[in-house]
Amino acid sequence: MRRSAAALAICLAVAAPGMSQGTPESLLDGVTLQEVIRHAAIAPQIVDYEGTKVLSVLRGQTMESVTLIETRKRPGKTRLEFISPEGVAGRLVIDDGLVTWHYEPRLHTVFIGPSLAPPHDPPPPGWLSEYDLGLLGVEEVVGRRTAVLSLKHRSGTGERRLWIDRTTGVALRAEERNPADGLSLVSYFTRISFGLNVPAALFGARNPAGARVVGPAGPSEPLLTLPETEKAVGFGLEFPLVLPGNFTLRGGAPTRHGSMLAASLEYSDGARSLLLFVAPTARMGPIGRGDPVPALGAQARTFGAGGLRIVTWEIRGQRLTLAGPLPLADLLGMAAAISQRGGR
Amino acid sequence: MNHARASRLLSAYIDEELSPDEMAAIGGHLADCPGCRAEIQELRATKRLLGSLGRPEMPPGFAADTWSRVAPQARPRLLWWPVRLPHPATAIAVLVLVLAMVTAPAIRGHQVRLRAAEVGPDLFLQRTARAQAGDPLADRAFLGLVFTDASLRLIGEDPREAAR
Repeated sequence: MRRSAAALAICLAVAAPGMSQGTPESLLDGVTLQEVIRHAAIAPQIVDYEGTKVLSVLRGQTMESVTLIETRKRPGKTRLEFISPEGVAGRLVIDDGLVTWHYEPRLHTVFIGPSLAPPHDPPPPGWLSEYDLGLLGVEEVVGRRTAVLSLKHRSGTGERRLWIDRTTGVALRAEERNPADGLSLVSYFTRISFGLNVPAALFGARNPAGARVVGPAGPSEPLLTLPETEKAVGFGLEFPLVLPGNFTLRGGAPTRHGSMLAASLEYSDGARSLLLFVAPTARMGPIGRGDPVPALGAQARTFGAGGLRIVTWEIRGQRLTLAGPLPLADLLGMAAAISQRGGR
Repeated sequence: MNHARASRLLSAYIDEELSPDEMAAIGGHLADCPGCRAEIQELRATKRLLGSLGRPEMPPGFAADTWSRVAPQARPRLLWWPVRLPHPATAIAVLVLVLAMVTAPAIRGHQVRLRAAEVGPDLFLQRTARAQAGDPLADRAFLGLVFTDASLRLIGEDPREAAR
């Protein structure tokens, strides 16, 4: 009932055409921004839709645009059918909430991995406590009224803008921007249909005849405590429990691929996650990819991949890699903090 | 002395190789045992026959010829240890085996380091994309794109290679 009230309030508040400016109270008719965001967070669990989406992702110094058909069926099923560019055309991803099934037609190969579905439970209270929320106005996207929200991290690093559909709570447009890169990710629907009775068969993953199957990897395993992670990987982990920007350690896990073994420590600010990967230099050589980062040593490198950025460097016999959806300057600041206090 | 033991010692009795007590015991047994008496008579007859054979004469030059055949196969002892040097091919094979046993772990460790450095970034990207799934406001299509691109790179494929 409360969610419906919030949706109705947004509906009433964003009736004006074009981008309208005003106070949150006047535009949202008394509904708080937190309520709007909370509604947006649970919308994918309660709304069915099918639409064509364009992703523009920063890769290096250029933006790459990818077009796909995105279909959602409640409570947690997602189907992504990539259309362009040619290199990804035909790629099909089906996520049933437990595992992700990915078929790559040009390789006639199926990959089975963990689900990328959002958590089913509503976000915990305070999950956006590190962010300043703002209402930028109201705007029309693909013929639908939206509330344009801004989420700025308190450390001043980056900003996320969301165009929240007044009726359903679905984000019809999203932008990630930061002072260094400008826009690093733009995602928007060019058309969308709600209220469909999306057939369940669309989410049935069946391996094509003769396809090679890579995996399968099951659902994500729960995070371990730091001592449990140390025991699992066989080497010590002495790192800060909190990183700049109030990214707090949630836990760790061993990360394996073939003979490679690293520890991954997950930090979160309540919404976004940073991962710190640790491997002894005796087991992992210097990463040659990316641009040098002299401030972190001769072996330090950084590179970005579609809105995510990686910084890798060495300290006291360990190769550390910090990865997350943050600008380079922020990751470098965190790397410096880790180098001062962490490593073994 | 029983018959079985006396029978095994008859040859030594004829050659007088036994102790006085054993000689006396066998003598007593022979008085009571017609089987052993018959056997000892056969042994003595055989011994006489062998003794009557003459010593064969070797042909001239036999010793020199024999030594000339044996001498080239002799191997000098270079060490105090009574071991002959192995054949060169065998020695090389053993050396290679020992080197392989010593260096294989180091080579394998080096390969593991290189492989980890090669696949690490893509594996880390994939794990990081998956971790963002906990963000309710994250764009699922974006996460799906990053995740699947990384999956392709992990098997050595270019995720943007145009379809043939």
